[in-house]
Amino acid sequence: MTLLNHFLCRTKTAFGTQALAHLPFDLSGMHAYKPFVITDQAARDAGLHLTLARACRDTHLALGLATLTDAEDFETLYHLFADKGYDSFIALGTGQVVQTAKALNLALCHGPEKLRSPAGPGQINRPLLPLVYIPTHPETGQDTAGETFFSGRHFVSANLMPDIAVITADTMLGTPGAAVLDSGLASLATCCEAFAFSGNPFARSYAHAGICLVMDTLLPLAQQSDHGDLLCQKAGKHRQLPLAKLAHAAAVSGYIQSNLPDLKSRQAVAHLTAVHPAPSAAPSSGLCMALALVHLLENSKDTCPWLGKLLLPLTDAAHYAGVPGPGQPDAAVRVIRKLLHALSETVPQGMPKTLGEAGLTPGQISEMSTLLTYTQHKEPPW
Amino acid sequence: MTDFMEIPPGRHRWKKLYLRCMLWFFGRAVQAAARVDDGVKSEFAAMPDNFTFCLGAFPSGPYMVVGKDAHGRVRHLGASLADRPIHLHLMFKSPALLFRVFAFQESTPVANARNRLYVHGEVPQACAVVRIMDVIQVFLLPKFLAKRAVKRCPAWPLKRRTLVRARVYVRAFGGW
Amino acid sequence: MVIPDYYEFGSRAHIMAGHDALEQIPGLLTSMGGQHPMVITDQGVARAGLVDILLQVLDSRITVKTIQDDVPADSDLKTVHTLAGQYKKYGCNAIIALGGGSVMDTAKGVNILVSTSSDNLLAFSGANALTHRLNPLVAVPTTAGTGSEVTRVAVISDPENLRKLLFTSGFLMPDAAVLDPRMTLSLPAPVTAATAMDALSHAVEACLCLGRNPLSTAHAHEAIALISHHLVPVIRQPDHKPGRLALATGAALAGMAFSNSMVGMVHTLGHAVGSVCHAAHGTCMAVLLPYGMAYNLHKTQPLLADLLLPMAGADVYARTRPADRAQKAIDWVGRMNQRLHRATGGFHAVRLQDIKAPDGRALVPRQLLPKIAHTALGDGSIFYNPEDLDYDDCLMVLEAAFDGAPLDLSRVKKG
Repeated sequence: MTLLNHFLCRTKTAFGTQALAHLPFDLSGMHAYKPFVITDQAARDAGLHLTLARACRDTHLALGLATLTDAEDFETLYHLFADKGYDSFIALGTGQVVQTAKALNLALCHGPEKLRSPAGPGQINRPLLPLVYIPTHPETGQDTAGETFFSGRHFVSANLMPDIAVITADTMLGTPGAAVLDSGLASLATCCEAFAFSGNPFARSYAHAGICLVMDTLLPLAQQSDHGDLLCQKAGKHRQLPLAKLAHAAAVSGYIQSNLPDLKSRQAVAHLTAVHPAPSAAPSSGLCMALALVHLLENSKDTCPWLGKLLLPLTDAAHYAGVPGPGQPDAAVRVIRKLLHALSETVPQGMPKTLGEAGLTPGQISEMSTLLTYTQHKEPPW
Repeated sequence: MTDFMEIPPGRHRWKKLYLRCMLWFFGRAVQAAARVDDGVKSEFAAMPDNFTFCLGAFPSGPYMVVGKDAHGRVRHLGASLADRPIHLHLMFKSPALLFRVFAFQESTPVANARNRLYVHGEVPQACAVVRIMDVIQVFLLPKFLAKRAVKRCPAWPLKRRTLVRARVYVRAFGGW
Repeated sequence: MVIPDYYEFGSRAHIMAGHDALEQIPGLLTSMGGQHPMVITDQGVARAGLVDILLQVLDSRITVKTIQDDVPADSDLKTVHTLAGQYKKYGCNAIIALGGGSVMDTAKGVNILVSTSSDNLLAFSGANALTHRLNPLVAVPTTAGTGSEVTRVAVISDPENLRKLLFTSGFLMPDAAVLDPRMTLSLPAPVTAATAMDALSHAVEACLCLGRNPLSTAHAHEAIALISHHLVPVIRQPDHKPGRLALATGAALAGMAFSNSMVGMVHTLGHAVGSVCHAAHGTCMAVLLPYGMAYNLHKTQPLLADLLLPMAGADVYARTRPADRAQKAIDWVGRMNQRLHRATGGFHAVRLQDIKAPDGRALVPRQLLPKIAHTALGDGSIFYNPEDLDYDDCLMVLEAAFDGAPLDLSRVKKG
């Protein structure tokens, strides 16, 4: 069996000004007229539920709004949805909000017992109810990926991907610097690895856009002071659009994760945390992935012919074309190292820029080298 | 415990009122231009008799309805879709998105490129209606606004820029 | 990176691309509950033996209920209704569309009727008339290509009323697009050239038009690189499977791009030439592409300059002065047409007057240019073009493309 590239992204991405105003029409296109909105307290306190409601004015769309407060809410939400006849979900928030929405969707379409059964491939093979995802922070990609977690069980299916991801500056909440870095670096690592190593032109195309979005926004965002940003308030005006772009990059990385589940930079997170001398002080997952990415690139330079092309989305066409081919892989690594250095300067307490600075011994780094090397690159089949 | 509430659909009275007024005047301007401007006349001439189109917002307006009667005369038919067949719908996906165009925050071609609207009906007729709307906007708006509303401001002869424009305005206010 | 104020990007088809991609079809259909498919194709595809290749890979899980190979060159209402009747008669529950753009559009139309239990396809014309998922549809393109395997649009003609009906809905997108080089190995050189240039025009216009966005541009650039790199080598070595797969992948990427950002004046004029003169779609696009790029130069210079990199490669891009890159990209397309003209033994047209029927008759006479210009004004893609076009502009471009002369940029009215 020769190499097969496949790609499936069920999510339509809607990005930009007045994106929410399209929602009633898009919902009607999915035969959804009574959406159930799940949100969290931070979004509620910031008044984002009213932002959503304003977008639905003059459209006859009544919203059921549930604010998550704790895990015991699940059964209550299930019965609310079923008893009041809702027909679709809007997840306004991130993290637990969208995972709850996905799990609820699964339970309502396949029965609650589905959530108690062992998760396996092919278990969720028909579409679920329409799900619209409206992020309020940039995340690490799991939100848009075709997976969800419930009671320690992991469910994987493309049918768990949201139908629409509405990403707009209007719903961006204050995001602390650490979260910005975590999200940006996670998206960057996922997209760079997909671009450089997957040999999958469909994944590469998404990855190209994701890398450009991160390179455009991460450092400027990190350099802005976020002291005025509170989690339960809308982000400052000058930060709303860059945060939305970062959220867009995170959404793209989620699409990629769904199709390339074996990315080494993601696998490195668990490994790194396990071997770290002080696991509670281990770097964030996004930073782990970025540090792992640098090693991946350096270790795989000789076996991966696509590596040099990574310089293009990391910089621009003029810079890429100006570097001779053999020098492009090193140049790409330098760009990422330079970014990590610059980001480190924005963090008051500093940020590790290498696995060594992150607390690993040379021996531990050497042990990880097998994980952090592509020995058999996935060459495109032409 | 879960905090649950139901949010009924709201209304934006002022925006809708503004849109109703703008669409009303725009419809009358289309009617006027169809009487006095050769360009608009020729676009309507290519359409069948009794052809009717509407411009509006999903799901329930406001609307502007314009039609050609059995004698080929173009009339502004008001704001209601009821009781008449509509051959072409140019619909914005929400009143808020229609407002963006009529408040000159976004031009029609840009709104179209940004998927703000959709069309039900025959594409060649939709193209003709969009060209008519461009001409009306150039008639009604001062140049600095017209440049933002259409893709390319046409270089009209003096007579069309002045005399015909004045006639469109007068007839639009007068309604004949 | 310039991001538009608002944009959307979605492509829900499950894409499978590879040398053994066809072998994925039984699993795909089974997972979708479509084990009794109807195969919709055309006689050209059947004669080329491609239906037999498909049937060989369908294992015992799949029972093909009927093979319908009567799809005409232009999809039409009557064919759609007839095939829908056959679908119901044979108890099918899925469609495999094996062919080019017309087969794909026909299959999408049939799927509307059989999934909605309706007898009236007209009721679903326009945008977003469908409200629920349709029956399983697997698209297997045999050209590279129209990109129809990944678009949510179908164009079906209504010859009785002399019109073309446009159907647009997210639900029209095939559930799966299977790209396998075995499906294009036997494609003749002129058709390979024309369909690849069609795909190139999709990708280029997706980068330039008003609906462009970062995701569509990324897909388009990838498509341009694949097509630019592999087209002429495949013309010279038609049985080169990796090259064929590269072109098929490029066409699908271009389809994903333009499906979200739309196309512009190249398609405006090309559709009109095709409609008035019955010239092949891809050939029209190839001839008109450099003219469309030149017409829009003043509005899209930096975007055109960016295209030089995937088209001509890093060396050429680096050696070209920034101010010259846009024009060089336009010239590159013109030269590509010339190369294809030579590589196909003169079959690939460079000028509108060179477009010929199989019997050698010129299909685009000069006296029809005014009618073509008039017809072009009724094509919806005109509104996505960066610069406005009126009748005189269309005629000017058509005349230049007819003569093979460079476009006189001083005559382009600038908005």
